[in-house]
Amino acid sequence: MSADIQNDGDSKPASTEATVSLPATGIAVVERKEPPPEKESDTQRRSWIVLSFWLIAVFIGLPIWWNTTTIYRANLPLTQMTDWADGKACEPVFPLRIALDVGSLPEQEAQNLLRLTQHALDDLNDFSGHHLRLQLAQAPTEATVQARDDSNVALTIRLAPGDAAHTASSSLHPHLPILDVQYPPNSLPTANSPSSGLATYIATQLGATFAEEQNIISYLLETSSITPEHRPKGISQEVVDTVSKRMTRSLKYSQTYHLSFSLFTNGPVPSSWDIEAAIDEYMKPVLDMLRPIHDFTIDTQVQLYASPGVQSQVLGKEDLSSFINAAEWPLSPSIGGAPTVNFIVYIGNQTIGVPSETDAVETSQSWMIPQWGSVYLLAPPAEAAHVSSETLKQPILTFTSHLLTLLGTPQSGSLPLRLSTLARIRSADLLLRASSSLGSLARLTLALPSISIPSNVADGVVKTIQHLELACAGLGGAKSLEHARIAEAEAERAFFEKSMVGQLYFPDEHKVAVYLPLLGPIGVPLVMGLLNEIKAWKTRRNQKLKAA
Amino acid sequence: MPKDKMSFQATAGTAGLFVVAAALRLLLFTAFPGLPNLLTGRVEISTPVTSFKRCTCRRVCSLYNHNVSPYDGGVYHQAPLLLPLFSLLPDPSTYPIFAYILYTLVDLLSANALYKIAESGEGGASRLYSSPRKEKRWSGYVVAALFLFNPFTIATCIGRPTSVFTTCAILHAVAKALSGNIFTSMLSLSFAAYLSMYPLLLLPPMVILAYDRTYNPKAPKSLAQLAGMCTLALTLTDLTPNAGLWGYSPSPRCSTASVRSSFGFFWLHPISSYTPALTIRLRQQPLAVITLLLGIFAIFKPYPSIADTSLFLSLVPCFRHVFPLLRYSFVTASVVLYGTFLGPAFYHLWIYAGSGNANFFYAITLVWSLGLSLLVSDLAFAVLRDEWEVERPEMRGKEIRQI
Repeated sequence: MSADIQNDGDSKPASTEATVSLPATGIAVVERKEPPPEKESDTQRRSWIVLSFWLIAVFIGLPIWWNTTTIYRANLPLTQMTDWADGKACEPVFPLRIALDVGSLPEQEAQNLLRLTQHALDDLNDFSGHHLRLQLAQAPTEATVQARDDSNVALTIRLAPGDAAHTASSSLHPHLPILDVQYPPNSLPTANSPSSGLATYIATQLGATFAEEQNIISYLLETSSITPEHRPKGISQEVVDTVSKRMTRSLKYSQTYHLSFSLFTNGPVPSSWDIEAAIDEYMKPVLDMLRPIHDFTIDTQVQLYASPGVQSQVLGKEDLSSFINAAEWPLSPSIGGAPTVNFIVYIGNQTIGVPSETDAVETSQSWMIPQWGSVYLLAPPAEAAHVSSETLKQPILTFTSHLLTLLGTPQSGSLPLRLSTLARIRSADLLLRASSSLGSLARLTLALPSISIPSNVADGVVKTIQHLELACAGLGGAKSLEHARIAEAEAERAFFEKSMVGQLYFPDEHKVAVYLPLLGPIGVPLVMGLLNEIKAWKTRRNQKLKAA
Repeated sequence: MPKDKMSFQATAGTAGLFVVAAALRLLLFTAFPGLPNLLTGRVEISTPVTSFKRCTCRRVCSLYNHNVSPYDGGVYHQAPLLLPLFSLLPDPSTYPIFAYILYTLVDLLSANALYKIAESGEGGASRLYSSPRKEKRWSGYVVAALFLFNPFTIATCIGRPTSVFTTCAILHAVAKALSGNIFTSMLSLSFAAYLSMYPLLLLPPMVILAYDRTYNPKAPKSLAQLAGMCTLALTLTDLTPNAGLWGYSPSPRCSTASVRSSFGFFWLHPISSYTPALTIRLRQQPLAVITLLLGIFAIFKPYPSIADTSLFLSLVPCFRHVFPLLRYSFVTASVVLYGTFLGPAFYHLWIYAGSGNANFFYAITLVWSLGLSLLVSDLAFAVLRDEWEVERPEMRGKEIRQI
């Protein structure tokens, strides 16, 4: 439109033609009449108009365009993030302190034994990520062991002189992290001996106790984003397979789990069960011990006339996967924040006909469904309408052991050791996951320069790194799990920030499609107007120069 | 023209016209009770920034009455001053008649302003320019009637968007500028700019118009006075805490992709860039600048509605003298009618029948805009040709060609 206005004002006369008759020949010669020269004021006015368009485009259009289309990218500590993901920022080392309670041995001998055992341990242990360090126990009573639960002492070795005739023997205390070692008194090392049978024995026992934990942690490191040079020595394929099988069974880590206990029966009875008493009696102690690592919420239900997915009397191996009648049984999916673990007691006469090669822990009446829960087939009780607490003992104990497996607890060792190992494994797992999320975010940031990075993502990253540092500094300690948990949650939140996704699928071709139709009609008249003005100005200057 | 005589004419000569127009509106309101709500829901009439429903819906009013910002929640996008006005009205679902009377009155006020504008003869003869065809013009009576009985105006009135207040304010600003009442004119213009941001762009031609009309060669007026007028209007506008488009744009738009906000800008930029250019080119005819700018707004404004078109069309008859110079009047009229009839049909196909897609409606809005831009450029051509013929009287009636 602008071109129209400008040109119409001062263009017209060309089409008018003057006819000049030449009297001599009588032939009409048609001659184009030149338009009168443009007035000075008109030229000036046109310059002003072109100038006004340009001024608005430059001083209003461009700044607004720039402000509205600039993508906000908060500064991320990219090198730090990649360092974490590559394992450069944190050496994943678990310094485990083992207290040596020597009982009545004199100080000198105890020191000697300690030194030799440490030597033997260092010789035995080639995995740098898991470092066992011995120290002498201060006041070796059970009370203090309990009181120092939160310190870094993972295990106390209690030495006691035993029968001289027997070789050394050891046993794990069932309720406390204590390894009782009975040794023949003559096996104590002398002051200068380079090695000792007792020291080697203790070292081997310790190695065996922590072997599973070592394997799991090396597996976690192996499968993490950490680059090989920052990773401790690898483990054998065989170990990887067994550990990975176990890890895939367990649920993803969550602070809270929801336990859902269901009683399904084929007919109208039994219609009630003493589940609360049974849980309190048989499961509560374990849940209480798990409290520092997880919280639990519990619900229960009874469903009558529930038919299973498989009707056959003897369940084959392939029937087990379709036994759960997911279409009809009201089993709560994980709707809330917490993942659900389902425990099902099915009252019926069906039995499992699987050969005994299955896991020894599983009874012939129950099986575990990986990452989901567990099922127990219970024969109809004597008093038909009610399932008593005693009847539920075996199912609940089975469920408890399945729960530990589902949570990823290692299988060997006494319960306190298994749980402290679980805490360490989980903190390592969370640490590695948070680090790899940071790495993914860093890679995403570099790969997509057009993605916007809101400031809360930067905040999340800073918080993650801060907590990762704390977790890494106290690795193996009690606070470490808490920090790793916060770090992982923050990293996930930063990575899955909603406002970043919108730009993810906005390629540059779309921008061209948006800008071209606009820049064509706006840009061409603008540029042409400016060029014409410059040309006219040059001609005028030349004429002036000529005239002068 | 003496002021008192003009207003006298407005009351005596047009009373009958106003009564008929008001009666027609109230008849439509009462005879077809479903019509107002039907039209309120039409996209051509109500846009998110002007919708009557959003202004009066219970949620917004209760937010307002409970001292919560009505802009929370993204329903209400309009000027804050409208809210007390609408919460003063009795509930429109039970006593709709009050809203009907209010909107009819606003239309009549607009028509009155338009009457004054037409009667002033500014279209044909301004201070610096007098058209050779200026004798050929329509009286205020005709112009006001064309406005009042324009189907677009009637549909707008019945659809009750808030843009009628803007229309009224702009027309009054022009009328007051013509009568030399600078302060009232600037107040009206600021009110219009307050209701919807874009009338602020009318400030330069409006100031020139007011300056020309109050120009007195004996008492030389300086640039300082022009500057004073500008600051007056700008300070009045700055009082607005949350002016129209700009008030709401930060909240909903920043949360979505940044490209959307730049879309908004792309439509605002062409509008603003025409203002200085047209003002410079048509310095001698400020009313023509205002009319052309209103036409450009009706095309390029974000969220355009037929209320903007009816405002533009209402000022066009003031240029009756250049009508013979229009080249495409038939094409323009056909295209606008085509758009008017096919627009709702295609919208129905897209939204309700589902047998057409969004492109149907989009295409018809393009046709509609094409018709309007034809009219705007044709009018600009006619005004310029008229100006040119004063300069070159020998060219009257001859064909012209661009060189």
